[in-house]
Amino acid sequence: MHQTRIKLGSLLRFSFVAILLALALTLPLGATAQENAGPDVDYSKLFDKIEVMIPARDGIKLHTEIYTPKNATGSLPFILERTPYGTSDDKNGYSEKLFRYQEMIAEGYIFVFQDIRGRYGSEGKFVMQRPVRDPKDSKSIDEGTDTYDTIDWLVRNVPRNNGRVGLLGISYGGWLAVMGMLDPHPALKAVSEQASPADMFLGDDFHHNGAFRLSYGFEYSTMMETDKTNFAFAFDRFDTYEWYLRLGPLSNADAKYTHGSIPTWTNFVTHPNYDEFWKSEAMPYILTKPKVPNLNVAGWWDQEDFYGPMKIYELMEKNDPNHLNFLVAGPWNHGGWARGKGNSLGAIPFGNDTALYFRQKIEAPWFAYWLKDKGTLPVKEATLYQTGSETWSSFTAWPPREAQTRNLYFREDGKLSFDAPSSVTGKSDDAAFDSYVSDPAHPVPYRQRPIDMTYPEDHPGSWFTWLVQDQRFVDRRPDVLTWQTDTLTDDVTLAGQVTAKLFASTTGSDADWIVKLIDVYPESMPQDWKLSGYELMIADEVFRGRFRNSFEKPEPIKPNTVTPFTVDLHTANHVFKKGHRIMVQVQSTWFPLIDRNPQKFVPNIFEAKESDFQSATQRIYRSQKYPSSVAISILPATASTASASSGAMN
Amino acid sequence: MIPGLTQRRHRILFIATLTLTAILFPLTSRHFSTQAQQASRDYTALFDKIEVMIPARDGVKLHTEIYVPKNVDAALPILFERTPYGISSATPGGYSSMLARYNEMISEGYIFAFQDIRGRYGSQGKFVMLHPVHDPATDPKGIDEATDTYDTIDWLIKNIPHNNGRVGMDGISYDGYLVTMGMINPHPALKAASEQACMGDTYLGDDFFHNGAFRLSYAFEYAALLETSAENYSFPFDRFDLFDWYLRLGPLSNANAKYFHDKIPTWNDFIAHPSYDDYWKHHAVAYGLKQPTVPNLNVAGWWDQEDFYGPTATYERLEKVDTKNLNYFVAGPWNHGGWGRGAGNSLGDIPFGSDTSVYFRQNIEAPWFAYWLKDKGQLPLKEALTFQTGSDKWTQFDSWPPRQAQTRNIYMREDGGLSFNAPAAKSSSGADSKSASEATFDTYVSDPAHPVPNRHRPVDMTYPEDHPGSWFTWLVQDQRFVDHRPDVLTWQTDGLTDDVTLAGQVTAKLFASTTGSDSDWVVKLIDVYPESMPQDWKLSGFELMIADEIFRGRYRNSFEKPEPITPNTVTPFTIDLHTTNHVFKKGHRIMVQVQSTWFPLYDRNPQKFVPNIFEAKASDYQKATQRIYRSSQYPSHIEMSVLPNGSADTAAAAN
Repeated sequence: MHQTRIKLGSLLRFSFVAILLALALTLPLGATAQENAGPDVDYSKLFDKIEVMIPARDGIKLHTEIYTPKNATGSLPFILERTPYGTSDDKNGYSEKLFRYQEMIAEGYIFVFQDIRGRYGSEGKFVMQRPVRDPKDSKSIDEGTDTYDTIDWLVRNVPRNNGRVGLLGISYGGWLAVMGMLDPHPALKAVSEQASPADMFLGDDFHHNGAFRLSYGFEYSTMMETDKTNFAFAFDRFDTYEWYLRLGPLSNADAKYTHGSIPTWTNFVTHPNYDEFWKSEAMPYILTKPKVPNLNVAGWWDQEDFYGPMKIYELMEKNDPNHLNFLVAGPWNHGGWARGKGNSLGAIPFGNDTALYFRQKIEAPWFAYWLKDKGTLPVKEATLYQTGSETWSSFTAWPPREAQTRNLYFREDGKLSFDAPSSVTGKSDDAAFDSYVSDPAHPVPYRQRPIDMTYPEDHPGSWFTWLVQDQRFVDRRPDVLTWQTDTLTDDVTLAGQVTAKLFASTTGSDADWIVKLIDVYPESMPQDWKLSGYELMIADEVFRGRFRNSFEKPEPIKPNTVTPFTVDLHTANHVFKKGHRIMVQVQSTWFPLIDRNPQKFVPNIFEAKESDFQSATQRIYRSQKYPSSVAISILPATASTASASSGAMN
Repeated sequence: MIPGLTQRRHRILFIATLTLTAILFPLTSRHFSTQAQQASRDYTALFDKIEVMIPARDGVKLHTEIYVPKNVDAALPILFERTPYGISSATPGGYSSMLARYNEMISEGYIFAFQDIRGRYGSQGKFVMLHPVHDPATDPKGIDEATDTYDTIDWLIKNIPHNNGRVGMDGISYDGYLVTMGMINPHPALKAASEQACMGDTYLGDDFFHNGAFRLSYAFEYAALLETSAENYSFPFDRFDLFDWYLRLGPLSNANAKYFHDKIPTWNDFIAHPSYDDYWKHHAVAYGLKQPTVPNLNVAGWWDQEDFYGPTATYERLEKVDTKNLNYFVAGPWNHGGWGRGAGNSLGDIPFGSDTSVYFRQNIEAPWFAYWLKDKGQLPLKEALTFQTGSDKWTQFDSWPPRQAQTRNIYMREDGGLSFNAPAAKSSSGADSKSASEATFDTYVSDPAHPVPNRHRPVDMTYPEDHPGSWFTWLVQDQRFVDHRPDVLTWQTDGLTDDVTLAGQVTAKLFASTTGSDSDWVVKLIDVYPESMPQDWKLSGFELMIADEIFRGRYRNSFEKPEPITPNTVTPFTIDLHTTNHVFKKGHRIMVQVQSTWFPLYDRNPQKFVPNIFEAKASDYQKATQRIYRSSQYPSHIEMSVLPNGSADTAAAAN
């Protein structure tokens, strides 16, 4: 959920930090820093800056910076971005956020950046994802009313504005954009929600399918709620895998470190299930029909909020008679579309500058169309980058209606096949399984160790690219199962929903199931040897077994009993190319991103005792009766050219 | 065993560069460019080249290239290196790239002679891997590498103009082994030698086995490399990640069944000689070389991934009978042959703060040969000169291992602790002392179907041709990549409050049990860096191996006669982790890891005793539950040689 860089002036010891801050980002590492030569631009020559405290309806004043182009002729629209992370002013006192809008500046906008209530320069009290107000209470406020009040002030007070406002933001900023469009000010004419969380229990920053995102939940809540400005928890270990393992049961976090002082952590502890607390913040319960044109933007490898924009698009699409709801997804990590070229992520090259393409050909025209009546709409409905083939494709619906579901079955000898298992003569269905021992004392790391802190300040972190790390780093561990197809003789074009259907048993009474759908590159890649045999995750998710029947009411798993689990792996748009293989990995720990399931059912895992954590023997069945599989959506060979105008946009 | 793998395939620029520089070098771009510059050097202005076929006593002719400096008036000594890897004429004018190895000695004035050994590349005859020394008593007309060396030296001093009658021999790895062979009944003109990373004993500690555990990936790839044709051959793997390939290979018998078809003699010898029999003993340096005969500088790298045992064991053994003080020892922070190339200021992620390889070549190796062959200068070392890692300085010792070191035990303890304090007996709170003691262990399941990788995956082939490989630096890879796996145990000290200076022998004493009837034990002694390393963040909490070894349990009583392990019975195992010279600095931690697989470098122990693991069936491989005891009765520990505080300072810093 954290898109903007942490700013801690006292920690500006290294030039690397300075570059990070200057770029206002969570930066994927490497050439991008040099490419994005933003810090050299002196925006004080381009803009006049106005700094104001804009009063909200309850009298609380919100710190706002307004950048008006010098020498502008005619009236201009506003681009408004609200943030909890500070406006990050450079040495001239100009916000580094301007770098984010390099492709739009020439078009002519008045840029407005605002600290939200209770953060940095703004008054009032910060509430993490402040719940939507009760409209019957005329004095109540929320992020929506703060946005409304700000827009109202802007259009009335800033000279030479054209009366139109565009609102956008990434991550928490994206969520704030959604809040602003629920009950929009009439001047709000265009929105782009980018990587907004949609549901903190089901799929975004804090939980996925009820499994707690420990490292993220701990580090983000302490970052936001220790002080009014960003705070970096002082780990005494570089490798936080080790630190979180030594932490022991979750109750030690408050006992040893936070002492009940972090409201969001306290909420984790008191709301372990999908109760009203989580629903009051979740999009299915607060979104109304689209009222303002909105471009939802997602990254296929967004390590924080991929679920959010896809879910918001899906929910809004159900009631979009005026066609105001649009979707873009690209091969990006969290916010990757807003910085650098986007021609690669980690070791994976894309062959073209996808982020630049988005900013120049989609985002800038989107706002120019709605705010300046210029040009045509750059997106008809859904513009999605197809990984594997490395082309942009346009869809009339997402997921595409013409896609067909095919099951990839787990088979004997580590095979993965479109052919279902048949009954084995003389062998009971119960005997056809693969097995591993999951030991919470030895969890599988989710990224290569050392697992440095989520947002390191003094070196490039590996959090930003972990979803594209080569999964060979855990392959063949005793606690990871692998099935894979033979080498593909034709392309397999995945477009749409991916769902794992496991038939599993455990000797414990609770269990996590992690399923990873992987593209295995050819063994010989002479043009890029580092990709030889590379195991790239295309879809992945965790499911906490206790919630298999209800996220509201957890239930123990019956030990040693074959039980079906359905794991939503979300949608993807990917070609498994001829010569590649398709692989599935299953494991029961993903640490320390996901807290360790004690594997013994306890009412609230946040209150589990050390002694509750136990090893469990897991079985994944692959018989005719219990055919574990991953259902993928495949475009028929002809349909892919019929509906998706692949490559046409490049 | 290969310091200068030379391939004839020049398809890719990278390969060409590799070939030119005659290397397998560690992979930083800095090294790369340095090497590339060296490689492109034009030696035609410096030397005249003579190419001859020198006849050995049995008439077989050996291909030899001789490089005589131009415009030299005085007589010069001959620097002689023999190789199975091809002389490679890849520099301008068809001059050998082996000259680049001797850049620091060229200006001193030497005639360089390089020779393909019998049966390889341009030489006639039949290649025999590590050709055993013949017995003159029973076979007076026999030949071996010693006689070939003798005959060649004899020819050189009689036929090459302007030589001063003195010959020095140098070589790394197999070439180092050839130097040791040349010292057996040496030619009188052989006045100085430097055996560098020789293969000393390929059953006990070098390329093919360590303590009876088979080095699968190395042996398979090396045997194919040398015995498929007269020139180097690269096995065409159909997987990039050989961890996967070797696992899919299954039992070792599949190597012949599927790929070699009995055509690789050395592979067949592995199968026929699974234990330490006369075959292995006759291939070891110790069989032929009983005592020092010429001044010899043994050179070893602390992180030599191929032949660390060879030079250290050769030095130690010869030192016992070195009445004329002809036996010397140098060890530095190098991988295999790292002293022979580049600056040596780092290895993998580990910086050393000085150019250790340049120092060796300029200040040790060149003066060494100049002293013996040209009567110039002084001996550059008194006895043993070793680079002390951790403190990163050169230290002189008058014996190695140093006599003043004291043995201290560091014990595996409860809760993953490692301590100089031995475990105490449980207080007699009514509990039976034996049962209390037996309950004091750590445990893991070792599953041959899911072995622990020896290096970070992907485990690419040992000597890749088209990209930089990770084989060359795997011994310095951060061991966090396997730490906390369910099949790896870890114990560590608290942060050290004072430096601990290790100098000399390290030995693991395990008290272990297994549910199987055979088992491997891998022990790693690790230096854990401080959690905060602002000047070099990649080293924050880094787990650097300082000593490591494997032991195949069946050989605990005898390498000649394997015996099953009695299942579920506490059994002592002693594992020689060799010598080292390292300071665990204040603020660091000392760590020990134990595991039972190290794949695919080592083949998987079936964990069920079978007479010959090379003939094990797939069904013989079984999981086993291992216990490492840490009680007062069974105190598993590591014996370390520690220098008393203060005495480290008396070891003269040579830098």
